[in-house]
Amino acid sequence: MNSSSTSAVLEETSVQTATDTLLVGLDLGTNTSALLASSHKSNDISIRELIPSIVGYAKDGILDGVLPGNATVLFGNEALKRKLYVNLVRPLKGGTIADLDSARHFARHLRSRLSISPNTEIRAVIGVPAKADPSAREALRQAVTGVFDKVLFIPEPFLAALGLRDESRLGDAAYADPVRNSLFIDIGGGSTDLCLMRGYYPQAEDQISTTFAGDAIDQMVHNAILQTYPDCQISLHKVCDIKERHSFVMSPETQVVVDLVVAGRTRQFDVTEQLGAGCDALLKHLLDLSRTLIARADPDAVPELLQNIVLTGGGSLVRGLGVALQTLLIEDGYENPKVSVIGPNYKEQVARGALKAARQAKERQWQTILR
Amino acid sequence: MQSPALNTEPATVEADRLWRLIAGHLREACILRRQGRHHAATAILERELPPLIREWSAQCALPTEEAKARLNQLFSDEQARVESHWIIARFLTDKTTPVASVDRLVAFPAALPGQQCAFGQATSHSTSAAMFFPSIAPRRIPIADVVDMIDASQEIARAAALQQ
Repeated sequence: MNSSSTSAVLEETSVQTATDTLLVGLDLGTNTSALLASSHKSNDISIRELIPSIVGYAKDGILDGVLPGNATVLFGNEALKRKLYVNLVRPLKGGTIADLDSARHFARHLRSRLSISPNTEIRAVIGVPAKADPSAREALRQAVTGVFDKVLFIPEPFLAALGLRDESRLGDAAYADPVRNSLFIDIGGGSTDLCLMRGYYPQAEDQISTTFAGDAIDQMVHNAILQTYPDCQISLHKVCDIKERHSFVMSPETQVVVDLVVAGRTRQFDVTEQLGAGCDALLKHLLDLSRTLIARADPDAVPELLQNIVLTGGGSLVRGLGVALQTLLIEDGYENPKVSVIGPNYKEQVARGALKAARQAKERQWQTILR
Repeated sequence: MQSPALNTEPATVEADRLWRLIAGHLREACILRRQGRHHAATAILERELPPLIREWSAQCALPTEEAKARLNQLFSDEQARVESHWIIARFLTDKTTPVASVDRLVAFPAALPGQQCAFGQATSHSTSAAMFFPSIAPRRIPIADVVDMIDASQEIARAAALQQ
């Protein structure tokens, strides 16, 4: 038993009564959580869900029928759709639990998405940020107590690498193993993590993390818009929405003109410059951090490493980010760099790795959580 | 024409670099073996070390017998070092160890002044075994070795909790 743990976690000793086992791969993201599930008897993924990591608590005095089933708590898109009638709470910040109560509610909601028979044991591998300290792990453990039967917390960089790797093609000469010698850049909501992948589990010196990520860009763009248009009313949620639809680096394809409210009336505002400045700041950060990490790589490995710079995470979807970073690296004197972007599937990557880990974990490694 | 000294200097530097690499690999293998990870230890000893040793032997310009003797000595030294740290770690983590004995052991200079301990924290007065024993520090774990990686990540988490 982990002596530091205050929740009821036991090593594997319990008597098996379950008739089936459901394996779950879970990425609890600051903005979006990915949930994959599969029976241990099958390789097919039976449940695949992406859910915004947000909980909405009904505001006091809401009239009957306004919220579906007069619910007192809504989750994910349901909560976002009815944000006028609920108090929105984000359970996570910077990848770790920031609000334990809402995290517990959210975890129970995730559990409810798994359609299972009563005698099914649920084993979940859950990604944790590489820098998660014992208190962050403990908070996560408390959040999922009573939700899953057995859990394993595994650092996200490893799960991301595992998720991206296509083991079935490792014997294929044409397949470039993405974790053999590459630079991973994961731009999330709360943090941007850069990691050198050299075929083995990344060590401390292989990683750099910064809090300049999606949320910081939202705040920067929000401030810039309010500075230029002090009369307009705009929330951070709205800025995030604009960013997800129109973000760009270098130069925009078209001007970004959005509807915003001024004293109750909708007017159009050009926010191209403000949005561009936020995204360009991200690009500059990425370039600086990439330089630092590339300098730590074995000089003999750098040519191959430069061929495998991988952008992932929500921030990687900023239009033109991959090409722009590649261009700046070339201008900076790096020889023939190649930056690739994983694309919208990035959200499942950690959860996919978690599911792979769940299949391979030994019985002794699972931690049983008392319900 | 270059002088002999100029010709041999880069080779010596390279031989030193290889020697340090060999020592690091040997230490890692000893630690893995002590932890019962024989598969991983064997992988280092049988796959990673031989090419390094061959390269070092070619670079060091020592007679074969002397090169062999030095390697044997290195192996014995690393094994002894790991054994000694292992005993200390066991002693420190044993709850029956009297506090006074632990305090005496904490004074043991595991790291030189200014050196970093296993987790990159400056050495401080603490009864945590983590700062003495390098085996619970992150080590090289192949991406494909999921089981070993889970073990290592659990060890790191336990050690961090102990430190806290």
